[in-house]
Amino acid sequence: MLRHLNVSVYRFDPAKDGVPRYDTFSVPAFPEQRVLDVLRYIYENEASDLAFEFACRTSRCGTCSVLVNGRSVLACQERAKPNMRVEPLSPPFPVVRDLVVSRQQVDDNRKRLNLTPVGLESTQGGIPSERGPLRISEEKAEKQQLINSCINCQLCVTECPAVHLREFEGPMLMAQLRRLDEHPVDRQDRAGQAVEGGLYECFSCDICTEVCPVEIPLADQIRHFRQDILFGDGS
Amino acid sequence: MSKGEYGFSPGRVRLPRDRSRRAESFSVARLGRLLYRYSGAVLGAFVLLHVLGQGFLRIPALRAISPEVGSSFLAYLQHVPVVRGVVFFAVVFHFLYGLRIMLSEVGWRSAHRPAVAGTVVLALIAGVWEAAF
Repeated sequence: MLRHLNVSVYRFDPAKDGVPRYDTFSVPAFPEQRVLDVLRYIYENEASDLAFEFACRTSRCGTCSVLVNGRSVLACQERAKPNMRVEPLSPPFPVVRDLVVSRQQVDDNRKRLNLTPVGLESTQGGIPSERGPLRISEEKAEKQQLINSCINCQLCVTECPAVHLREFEGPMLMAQLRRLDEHPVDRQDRAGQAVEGGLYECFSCDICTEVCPVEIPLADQIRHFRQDILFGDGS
Repeated sequence: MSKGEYGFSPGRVRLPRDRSRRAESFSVARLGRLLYRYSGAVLGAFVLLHVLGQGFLRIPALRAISPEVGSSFLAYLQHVPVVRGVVFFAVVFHFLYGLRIMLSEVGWRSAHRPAVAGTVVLALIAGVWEAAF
């Protein structure tokens, strides 16, 4: 007998609906079925006006982030459950429609903080490669690479209690600022930017580390950053 | 299950960094944070009630309202095993978890899952011990 999943999906169109509602769908189950498969089934067979986002389907792009039964997950990775409620990453992100949220605030923050290495050379119009390739230690390169592997999925921001309760821009931005603070070329005051963004508001609860699909130790990055500011980084 | 032309069993294919049962998984970090909050609230409430009880015992103006309130109230707080157990659990958990946060801020490294789990176990032992003996 064909098993079915009982799926409740958040629906809200700010242009038409006064308040959000949950539509319930019965979706045929199959082995290794992911939440994204369920959403696509609903879109193709039951509700062609359902709005949701996805791109790579292999946990590399971070666009399909949703809440499943209250926990933030990547829809392309999370296994479908017999009974599940799918919601957008809101709060802290405003809902555009159904499961699509606006990440404008994050993009604005990234733009404002200029999250690319800004060195003396580049501000003067020159490039470091005129002096040959930049040498950095293997350890530093690994650290840079680790934080650079962030897929911008915003799961950590959604789950972070400090983001909801305090003036905190989130673990992801703090980790990026920490990366740039350690970058050998970057000359901007990243510590100052981090403190302005609420570096000391983090509760050190490690929830961000637990939810990160790329397994970046985000809470450790924040703690290291605080230590460097308090005691100096030894460099 | 037979292996296909690509050399693996289709049912066993795992995508990289596959942590696909996240919504059902137990979050140790979340448990730690909630227990830290609630244990702090328990300690705050206990201290407040204790001070209030002492007030009813020792401050004449409060004692005049009801002479028995202070002694019966303090007796309840101090001699009911479950209350003692909960307070001891809260004291130990809040102290150890807070200590871990403070030490981690000055460079002590610990994996958060074993650290939180260990803290819960130690606090449980303290709470049960106090309630039972």
